[in-house]
Amino acid sequence: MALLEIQALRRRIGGNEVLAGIDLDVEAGEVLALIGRSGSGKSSLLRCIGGLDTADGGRIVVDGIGIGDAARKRDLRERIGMVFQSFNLFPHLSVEGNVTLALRKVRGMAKAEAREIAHAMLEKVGIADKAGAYPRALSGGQMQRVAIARSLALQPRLLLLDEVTSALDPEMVREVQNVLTLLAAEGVTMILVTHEIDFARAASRRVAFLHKGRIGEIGPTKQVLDTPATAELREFLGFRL
Amino acid sequence: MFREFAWLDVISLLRAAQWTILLSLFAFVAGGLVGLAVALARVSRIAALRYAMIGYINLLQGTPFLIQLLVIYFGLTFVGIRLDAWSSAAIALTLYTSAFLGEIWRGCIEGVPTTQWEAAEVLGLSHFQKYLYVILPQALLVSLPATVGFLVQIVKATSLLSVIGFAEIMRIAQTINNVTFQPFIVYGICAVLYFLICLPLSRFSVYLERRLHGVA
Ligand SMILES: Nc1ncnc2c1ncn2[C@@H]1O[C@H](COP(=O)(O)OP(=O)(O)OP(=O)(O)O)[C@@H](O)[C@H]1O
Ligand SMILES: [Mg+2]
Repeated sequence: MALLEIQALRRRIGGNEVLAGIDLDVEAGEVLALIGRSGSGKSSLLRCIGGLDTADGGRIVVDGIGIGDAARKRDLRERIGMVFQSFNLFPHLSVEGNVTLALRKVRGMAKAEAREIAHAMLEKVGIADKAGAYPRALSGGQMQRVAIARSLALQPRLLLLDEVTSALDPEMVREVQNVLTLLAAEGVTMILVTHEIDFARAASRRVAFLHKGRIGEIGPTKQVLDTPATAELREFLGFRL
Repeated sequence: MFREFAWLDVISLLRAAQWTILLSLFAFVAGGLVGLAVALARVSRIAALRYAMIGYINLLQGTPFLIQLLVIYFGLTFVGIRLDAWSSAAIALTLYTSAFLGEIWRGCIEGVPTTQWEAAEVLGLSHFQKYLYVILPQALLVSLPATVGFLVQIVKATSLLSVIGFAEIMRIAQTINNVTFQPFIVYGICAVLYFLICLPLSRFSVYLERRLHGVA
């Protein structure tokens, strides 16, 4: 059984089929890159998996738990982490406060234990020296790494990343990508939405190309990116038609 | 019958000023607690609660404080409820303050970006925890200048309590004026007292505003 199973997922916004029947499996330990034009439904798909949006039809099962299973909402939450384009750090909390909040309040850990985990995570994303700083004092790349650490601290089985480098200056894109590459090598299961094809190539095992709310193409990264089968993907990738 | 305005009268006014400050503090604390509940009810997921609070806020913001006070003190006797000056003042101040602070805080709660709610959601925080640890701290911080600014309004509103016999600044000033008939001096001192109470508050509010914008 795959870690994530999606069947016939549909989502409609104001008469517009944003997701028009998505079938997708993601295995544990896999990194899937999600690419596609603006408005193709990438964020919508991620938000449905992350439980921020509700689907109008179909099924999403994570680790054997169906999304919408009210009785297991908490179990599901524990398994899915999400990182946003705009970081969404809590501005009134320090870096450490951001990372320890859920450990303490949701997982019920003692302060010392939570701090230890937070420190390890911040170490992993290379920003342990900023534990006491507030988000406003950090660069975009640093903030995004804190956001990743905040998510990782809860040890999600599945990490969803929506264009996490799109709001960053070029020199900071690399530092965040390096962290993600490290996580991929560690076997963290990730779905990452990205516009950077080179990064998708380097970090993912498979690529899914979303087109008008459907999966237009999916397969091993090299195959999909080097020999696109559809005209839409060829055009998206800038191939000569 | 008349006598000269004396130093003793200044002392009386200073004593009365203590009442003004005490009443203002009471209004702020009691009105603040109720106001927080009003703000939360105003953004509640329960529609009936939201509408009830819109009515509550409109009613209290749309009528003068003096009228509210008189209705509570005199008006309620018609329905068989007799309240003393203390209870009337406490209730009137609390209602008035809660409506205004509730509305100020509602705006600040709604001003916290949706993305903060979402970040808290994906971390697994409960609805209550989202408010407690993520939304309210940010909203209250942003609301500080307006909140402290409203304190000035409360201080001034307490002067109206003189009509139901409260021995705050205005009431004492009236009695002194009745025997000395030196309104310019008496009310001049009153104005200075109010000014001395309100000025630090409004300065503090401006300071908070600047700090907030400096760091945000
Ligand atoms: N809240 C909303 N209200 C109305 N339409 C929406 C809303 N959210 C998304 N949509 C629409 O849904 C479609 C898919 O949007 P989505 O954000 O999933 O695209 P995306 O692939 O993530 O695009 P981008 O690359 O620009 O982030 C778009 O047509 C968008 O206009
Ligand atoms: Mg998007």
